[in-house]
Amino acid sequence: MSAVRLRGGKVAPALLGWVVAALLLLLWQLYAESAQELYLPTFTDSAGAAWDLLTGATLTSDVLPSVGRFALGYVVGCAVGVAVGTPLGYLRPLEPWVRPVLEFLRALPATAILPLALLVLGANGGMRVAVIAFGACWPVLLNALDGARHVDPVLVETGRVSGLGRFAILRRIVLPASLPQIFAGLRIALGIALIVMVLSEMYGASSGLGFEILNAQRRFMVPETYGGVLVLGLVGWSVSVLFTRVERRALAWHIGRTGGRSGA
Amino acid sequence: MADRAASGWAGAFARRAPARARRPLGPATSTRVVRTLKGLAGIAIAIAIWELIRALGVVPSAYVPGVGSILSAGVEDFGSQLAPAIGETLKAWAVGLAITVPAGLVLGVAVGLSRWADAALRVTVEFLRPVPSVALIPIAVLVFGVSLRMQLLLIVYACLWPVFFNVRFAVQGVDPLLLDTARVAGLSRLATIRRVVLPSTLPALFTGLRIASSIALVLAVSAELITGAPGLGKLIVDAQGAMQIPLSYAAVFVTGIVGFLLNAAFTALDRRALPWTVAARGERA
Amino acid sequence: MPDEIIRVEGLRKAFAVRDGETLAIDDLTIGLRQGEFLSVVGPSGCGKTTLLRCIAGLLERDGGDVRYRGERVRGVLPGLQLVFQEFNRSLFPWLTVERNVRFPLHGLSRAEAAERARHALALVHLETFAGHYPWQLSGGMQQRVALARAIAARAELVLMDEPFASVDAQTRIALERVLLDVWRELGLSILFVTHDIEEAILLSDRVLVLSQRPSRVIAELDVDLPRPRDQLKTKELPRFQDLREEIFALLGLDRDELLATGSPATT
Repeated sequence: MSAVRLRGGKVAPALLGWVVAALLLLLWQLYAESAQELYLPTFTDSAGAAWDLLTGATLTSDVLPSVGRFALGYVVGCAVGVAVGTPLGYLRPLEPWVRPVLEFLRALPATAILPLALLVLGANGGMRVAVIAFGACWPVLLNALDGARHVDPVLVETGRVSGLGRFAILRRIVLPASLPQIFAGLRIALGIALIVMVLSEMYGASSGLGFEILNAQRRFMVPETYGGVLVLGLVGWSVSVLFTRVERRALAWHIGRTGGRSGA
Repeated sequence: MADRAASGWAGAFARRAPARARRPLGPATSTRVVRTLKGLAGIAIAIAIWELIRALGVVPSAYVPGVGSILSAGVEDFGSQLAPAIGETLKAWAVGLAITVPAGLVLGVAVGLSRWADAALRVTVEFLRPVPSVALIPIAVLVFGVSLRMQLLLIVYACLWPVFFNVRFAVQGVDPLLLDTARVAGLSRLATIRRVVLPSTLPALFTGLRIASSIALVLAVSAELITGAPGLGKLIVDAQGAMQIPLSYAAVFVTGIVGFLLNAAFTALDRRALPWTVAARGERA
Repeated sequence: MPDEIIRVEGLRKAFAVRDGETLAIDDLTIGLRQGEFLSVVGPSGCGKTTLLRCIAGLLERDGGDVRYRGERVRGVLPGLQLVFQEFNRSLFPWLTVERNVRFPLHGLSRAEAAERARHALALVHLETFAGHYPWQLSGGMQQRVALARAIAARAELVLMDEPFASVDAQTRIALERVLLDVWRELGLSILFVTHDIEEAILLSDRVLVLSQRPSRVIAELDVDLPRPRDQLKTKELPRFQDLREEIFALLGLDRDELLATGSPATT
């Protein structure tokens, strides 16, 4: 039903999307202005507050450090996930032993460990990065594990016949072959890392984007609250777009092969 | 006289190749039993590692209680603290999903079927989607105060996406051949939706449901952590505040168990209801 | 008589099954001479693939020796390339054709490896597709890439496991011609497993006939047909027909039992 191209080529539908989005914004603005509800500031006020956040002192004291912690935690978590998951999956005998523990750790909401992490590691950036990494690594690990488990044996045999040692096989065959599955895990981890980053700054924190939003809410500075959420949305959106770009390049070979309908 | 030809990893791998060639139908139960035993052994090893870390004294042992004390705190306070907390969290989780899933299904089908609706909503959805749901906690508190409805707002917002996207993807991907078959058979549009499109979306719906379930749990607990709404999150924080550290750990552990069981339940449901599709699906969130 | 490059003596291979063991290969002896094209034919399921895997060192043997140039070998055979039946699964989807062909060439400078790859691709008439990805090529072309990879690796010994079984008849004719050209030009030693009797006779210097499982060599035929072989003319020679009849008989394919039971009975 949607296999056919829309009339109007590609421009008209995209335009429609923007028009609708703009209309919704307008609706928000008009309603907020007229209704004067406490909890619903106008779009212009919120956007203004967001702008202040991004251009004021808060940029260097809150926004950038938040993004930095998020990025660091994410990268560390994903690196660990791939580095541990791939060999684990390839080394078939080990898998049944670790699977229950890994599935448990993945099912545990990472935010639940924040209070205890605060206690054990103290209230500092390192603790937050660690918790973000904790949250990010399990989906990546499990996906890397499953990807490595299901690598086509013919590919591995080709490697062995070409005289490759086991580490080379892991690096040059198992890892690239599991990349589609790994990327699926990486995308899930992206969302988790963002959530954990925000929450880690709402609990026992004194700086950061999450803190700013919560702080504003507690002081009933409503436009500032919404402004912070807008900034977060912007961060989330940019990160997502960046990820898609990277994914498309890394998996170009896979998309062509499967016709583009699998993977994210 | 056997040559120990292949060795090590290569050998481990080579020994699997014949396994594929012979296709044993054999005693699958004993393999399952062995797997379970290995899994249990793995858990035991994990516990041992925990105790080892404790013994090493890297962190003050008051803050890292032994598995024994965690267990006893959990058992002792199960009825008085843990069970009610589980109940509260699951209440938010269940109601949230009950609202989101039908909404996501309807939206997904509607947008999937209508190219114009899809185009109209695309930009809006692309901008709303990446907003991390927990960022809305303060707004939700502003609007609803600390209450169940506050949690529901968050859960519905966050869980709508996986369900919606999965269903939409499935609807858009319905095999045109099936639709042609329906047209040739003279089915009305409504009947086609009911008898061809909806069943085709079931696998994706189940996947979306599984993802939504875990997101709902994360949000419910996270909201409780920050706002003090009743539930496991609140228990974790309160126990820590009252210096009942083992109880706090027990609550964290129980949260993990709840997540694990929910996930296992949905995976099992998935497999029983739709066994023919399990292998072929990817995750979409 | 040129030296033997590979000698398999008394090979034995068993697989564990539900209640015991099944013997796939029992006391198999094969010698492949340098530069020879040797085919192995046998009934379905007799373990031809297992045989190749054991020789290549991808499977552990339960008995017998594999000697490479007189030396006993353990593990994966050196200087070997294996061309699988499932060619599309043996090419790395994330690498271009050229990179795939270069894959076995470690220890060579980039320029050298690129040159060898180019030469190998030229031999199989695929130079213009060097930058493509495997999924963009047809089945026959993918199999040619696999062959080019074996060539680029300067493998003296190539084991081929029913490589043309999954391609259509016309592609197969083209591939057989390419294979013969490459074999002749590079002086390769080829051990070729196939279920196609005519193909075996057409391509080889010698044909070995295997028994039903557990496999043993039940016959060895010298294919004394003139070279270069031709798909049309060679097949019309009376000697070709004789050889074919002989192998048919050995495999029990000429008897009605085949129709009744669905599988040939052999000694």
